[in-house]
Amino acid sequence: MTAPEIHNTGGPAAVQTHGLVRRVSEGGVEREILRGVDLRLERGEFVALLGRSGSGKSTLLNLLGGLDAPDEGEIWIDDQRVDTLDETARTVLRRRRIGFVFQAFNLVPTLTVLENVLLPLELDGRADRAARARARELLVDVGLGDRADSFPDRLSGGEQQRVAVARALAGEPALVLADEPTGNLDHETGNGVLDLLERLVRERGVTLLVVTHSAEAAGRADRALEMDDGRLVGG
Amino acid sequence: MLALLSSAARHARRRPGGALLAILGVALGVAVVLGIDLANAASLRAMELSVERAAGRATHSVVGSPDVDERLLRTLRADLGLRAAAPVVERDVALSPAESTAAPAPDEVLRLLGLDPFCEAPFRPYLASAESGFAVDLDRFLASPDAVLLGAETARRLGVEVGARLDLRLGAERRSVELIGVLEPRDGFDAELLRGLMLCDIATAQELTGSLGRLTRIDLVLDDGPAGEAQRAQVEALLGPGERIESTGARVGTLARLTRGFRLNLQALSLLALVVGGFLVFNALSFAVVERREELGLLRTLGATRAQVSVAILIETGLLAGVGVVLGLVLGTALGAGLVHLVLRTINDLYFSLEVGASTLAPGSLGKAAVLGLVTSMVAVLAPLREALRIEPHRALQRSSLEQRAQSRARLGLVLGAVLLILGAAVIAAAGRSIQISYAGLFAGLVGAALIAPRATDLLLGLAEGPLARLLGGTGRMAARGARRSLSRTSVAVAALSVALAASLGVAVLVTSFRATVVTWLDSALVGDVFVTSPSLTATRTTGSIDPSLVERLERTPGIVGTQTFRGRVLQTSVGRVQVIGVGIDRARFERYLFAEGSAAIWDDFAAGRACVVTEPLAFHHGLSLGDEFEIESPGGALTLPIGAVTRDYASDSGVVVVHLELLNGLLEDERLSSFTFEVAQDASVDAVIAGLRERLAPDEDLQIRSNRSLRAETLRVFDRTFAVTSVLRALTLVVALVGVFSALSALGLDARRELATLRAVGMTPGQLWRTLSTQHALLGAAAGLYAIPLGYALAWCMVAVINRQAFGWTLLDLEPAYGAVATAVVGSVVVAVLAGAWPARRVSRSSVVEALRDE
Repeated sequence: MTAPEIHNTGGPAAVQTHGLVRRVSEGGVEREILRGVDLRLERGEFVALLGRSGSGKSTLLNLLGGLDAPDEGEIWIDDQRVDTLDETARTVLRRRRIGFVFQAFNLVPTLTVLENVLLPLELDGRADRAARARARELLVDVGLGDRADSFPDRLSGGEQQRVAVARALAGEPALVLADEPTGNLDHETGNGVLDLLERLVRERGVTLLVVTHSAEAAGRADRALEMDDGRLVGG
Repeated sequence: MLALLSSAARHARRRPGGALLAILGVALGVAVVLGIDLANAASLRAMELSVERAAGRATHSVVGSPDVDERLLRTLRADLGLRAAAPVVERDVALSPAESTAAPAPDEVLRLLGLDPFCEAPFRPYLASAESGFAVDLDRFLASPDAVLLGAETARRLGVEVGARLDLRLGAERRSVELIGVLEPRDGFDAELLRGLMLCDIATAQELTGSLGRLTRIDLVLDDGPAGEAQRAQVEALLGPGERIESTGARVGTLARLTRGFRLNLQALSLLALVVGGFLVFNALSFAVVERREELGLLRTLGATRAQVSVAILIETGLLAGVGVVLGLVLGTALGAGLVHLVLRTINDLYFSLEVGASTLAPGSLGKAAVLGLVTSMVAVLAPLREALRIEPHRALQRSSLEQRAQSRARLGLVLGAVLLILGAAVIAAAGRSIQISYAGLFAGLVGAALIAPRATDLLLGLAEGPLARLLGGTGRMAARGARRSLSRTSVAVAALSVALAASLGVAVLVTSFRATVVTWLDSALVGDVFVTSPSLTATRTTGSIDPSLVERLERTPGIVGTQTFRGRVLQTSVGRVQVIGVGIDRARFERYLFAEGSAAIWDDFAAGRACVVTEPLAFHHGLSLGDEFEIESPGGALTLPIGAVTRDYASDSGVVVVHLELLNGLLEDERLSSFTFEVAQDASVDAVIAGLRERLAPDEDLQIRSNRSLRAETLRVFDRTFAVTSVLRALTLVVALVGVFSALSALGLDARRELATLRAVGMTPGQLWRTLSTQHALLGAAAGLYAIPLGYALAWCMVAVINRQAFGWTLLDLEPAYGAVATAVVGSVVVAVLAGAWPARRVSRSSVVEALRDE
């Protein structure tokens, strides 16, 4: 089985979705948050996802990351169909192929900075000596080489988000999903984090999908998509 | 303010588990304290009634050693003009089921009270009817040699009517009496006084109990003040050897003192349950406040003053505590009703016959338990409230500052805990004979240990981190770290669990060691193969009266090769009224005594009546030691003997003095016996000998004949029954602590929902999540359990070497390790901790990661 071709630009897609529908039930009334989303992200592509609050951006991101399952439609990541996987298989896929950057950083407070970065590898049983060395390098790359043994609540917001970026890339994923990664940061710090994220994914050829409200952030992307009322309307 | 309260109410509705656990904590603590208090109050009331029943309005009594010559009554009335003087013969009797030698059930024991109706008017008003003099046919009461009366309720309970004949057991004999009337009580109080009483004329009682010319005592009503003192002095001047005058108030005191150690131990255990319950309340309430720190910060930002927030939280706590207290009072009343039977059964087994009617609700006990519950709750909420009010209005309290405070609190706890431990040890060392002071020291030590618990747990978890990381990788390290970091919110529950486990373990070690000692003691005390006693109304006393000719007849039974005889009487001695036991034994038997001080080398002096032996409790309670002079008063005059040895004895916690039988017979001027043992020839069957002995008994002779084995089993059964109530309390304390840990850990899991959801988002499978949480909780449980082990043994040592000695005067041979209890403590706490983690883990595994991440 192979992925259906949408917006085919020649090579195999990093992400493809076909007819994605997600409904929620509120007070007995069903509401469609996604109304048939078709999407294709190329390998190494940096795509921004724009849209008003409630337009379905984060829902789409969560479906792509396997944090949630669609009611209808298909999701393919690197030629693997994801929407039919069970919970555990989706989790394993997530830790091996996908990195997350959240708006609220979401570092584990009981782990040090280095341990947070190593976490996806640790969970996958891959935290060997080489992995530790790579994690330290990543920390140097994000400018926190000297904070490896600190706990997250000792870091500023910008520093925490930089750790989150390092964590997202530690497992050498094919796809990084960032949900408003600068939403909790001031303009300058936010730009710094975006610079870093962009540089690291481009260096590694990783596909990046960033949900954002910022036109400036969208301006950095190779492509900007817009969502409105559960549908992709631009890009 | 209304908005603040609605916010709190909605919070409680949204997270009902926390509120329910706080209520449960208060309820369990209050219930245990109330239950024990009601049981103790009921047993004390039973003692008061038992004295009141017999003494009526007497202010003083003349008692003898062992009894009083009835001629003294005439002297008092004639020479001193004391009209308010009444003779009394009093004795416990058992209603005997016809044609059976089975032991009577405890509720068939009655107090036989022989009275002179002509002297009674000033004393026992319940004997008179409301309108006219004596309530029954006086002629029959006086003239009939076997006429008795019962209270109407007792007669109904026994299912007997006027005219019925009742078989009584009196020592070795059976006697039949006729119920000639029932006394209708005028009110509920009279009904209480008449409960379990059998009345007869004084002459009838003397004849039934074989004490012609003798009285148990003479009741007196003396004037108040100096006139009364003068009368007392006049009475004293007329008293013969062994006779003395005592106030009736002192008699309630004597009974209460006898069971004081036992009741105090129960009270201490119930207080421990309250302390653990208090921890639980503290934990639940502080968690509720910490959980809402952001909300409280927001409220402060919006302009709520500290006072407004405080009042809102205190009202909330008051409401939760109020519901808990009401629930606790209901539970406690039910528990009290159950416990009172256990307590009274033990008092009946070990001390004296008591009976109590339907348990009455004592407003004092209810009030005390309610106030304790409310005050503990309010004190428990103060610390978290202070914490919440420190929140700067412009920002919510960060985890890091919470952790920092928790760490500095743990450091302070360590210092305070160490001080309290040292203080506790010093208090115990200086407590002397005061059991209350020892308990105060013990509680100080326990609180100290509880304060140290967070630091000790942290240390244990730190030690576990490396090995766990090697064993389980990141999950193991995360679990150990998570457990350590959670101490800011779980340390109170962990400390409470440690203390409860330690107390439980301590009591288990005490009971196991005690039982082992009693088994060893039984081996030394139970010689001979067959025991013969007159039926005893309490399990550990033998004061019956058997004619020695009966022994001579019985020892001719084939198979019997040796006899040893015993006699017990309560006599006045230099340390008060004490059970004096005369033993007709040989040297070999004497050498088997477990000597605590001195040795069997004094046998020659003992056998010649030149020395006595006292038991350990008697020596401890009265500060007696080897070589001290001990005086025994008797009708034949006073006798002074040196104490030749002190022996271990666990039959009586008030203690006894042992002399040679011939000496006691000489003092009492007769040769009656209380019990004897037969040795059976090696080739003869014990059962066959017992059957042979029973055949030789006449129909009206009533003796208990038992084998060594059955007596031993009976003694251990009484022992186990004695500790039944302790086991109930131990279990309750553990339940309270386990509920606390369960609530703390499950609440912690729910609070960490977002953190757990992050782990799920970055790739932790539900199975890994469950394993991490389970390991984290198991570590906390194991740390609490491990910390409890040394604490439990220290507690056991304290209870065995200090408290038990002060309460009962007993020392034990060895401290048994009680491995089973240790394993139960550790495994139990791990299991409960893991179970507590299962619910939040399951919730997070099943719920949407997206929802959880968005939830904050």
